[in-house]
Amino acid sequence: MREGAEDAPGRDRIHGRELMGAQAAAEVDQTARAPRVRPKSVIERRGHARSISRAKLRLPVIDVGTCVPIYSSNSSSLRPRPLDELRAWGGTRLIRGRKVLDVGCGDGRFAVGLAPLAASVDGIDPDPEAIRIARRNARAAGIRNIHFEVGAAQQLPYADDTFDVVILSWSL
Amino acid sequence: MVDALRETHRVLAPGGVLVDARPDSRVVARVERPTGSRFQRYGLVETNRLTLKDDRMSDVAIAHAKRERLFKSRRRGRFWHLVPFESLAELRDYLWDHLRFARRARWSVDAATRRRHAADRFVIRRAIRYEVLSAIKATVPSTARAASDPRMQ
Repeated sequence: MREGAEDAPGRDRIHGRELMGAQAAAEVDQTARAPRVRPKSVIERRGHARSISRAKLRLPVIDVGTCVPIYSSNSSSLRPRPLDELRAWGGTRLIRGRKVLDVGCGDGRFAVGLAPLAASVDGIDPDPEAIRIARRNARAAGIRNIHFEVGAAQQLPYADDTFDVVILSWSL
Repeated sequence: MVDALRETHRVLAPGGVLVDARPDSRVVARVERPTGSRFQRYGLVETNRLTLKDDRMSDVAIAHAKRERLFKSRRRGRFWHLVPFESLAELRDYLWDHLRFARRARWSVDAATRRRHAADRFVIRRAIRYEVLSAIKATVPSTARAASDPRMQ
């Protein structure tokens, strides 16, 4: 039950506050001291992310841009570009010159995007067809420091202490 | 999922980093129409109930891994991601195919407005969450530590 509590809507408040600026957090504190009645937003009425009101959720925007094909059957093309996503996580220094493992790499879009920065990139996915496409994509991009394997995240075919960075991008 | 995190911890070198990134289903996605440099909201797209459940399980797994002291959080946050569509029909096709979202948007504009702008470009604006975690590992290998510990002998 304690695990479930981690995800309870009330806990969002803590997470939400971490994401807000100091000024916004101060506003929340003020609100906590002197609660005032205000109409609930649509999000709140629906019970989603109760503490994250739309006005306070000012997040940086990552656009997939015009170079990415508009909707196709390949859903990975609709994800943020690897370097944009990496920038949001804290910048390229996170992977520069390091050994990276992309768990659930799919067609290798993300792994191929990171490979020029990293010392080496390994990708693993349970879908053999996806791995075949990933290898083809890596070959087409002319990237050599990248390896793909078919396998499950529960049994990684690598020795202990092999990687500096493991990425679970949209796969957990 | 906890098994996968344990495996991840095993293959990470001491001081290694795990990045968990995925769409944030706790924040409702929005359908918007770009109008110059701004966006006009047309509706909301809710997350599929099964996906919500999956996401909650992922959160629980991460929390479990932290409690087991496999990882500690270094940084976390969210950003918006815009998925572009050439027309409203294309957006509808996407929602129909996509498992993560509900199949239909909840429109906040009337049908006439939607018809008038049906050929315009639209975007789905959704929140992506990420968390950067450090692997907690003993600097001395456990076998060596056991050998040097008199209580273990």
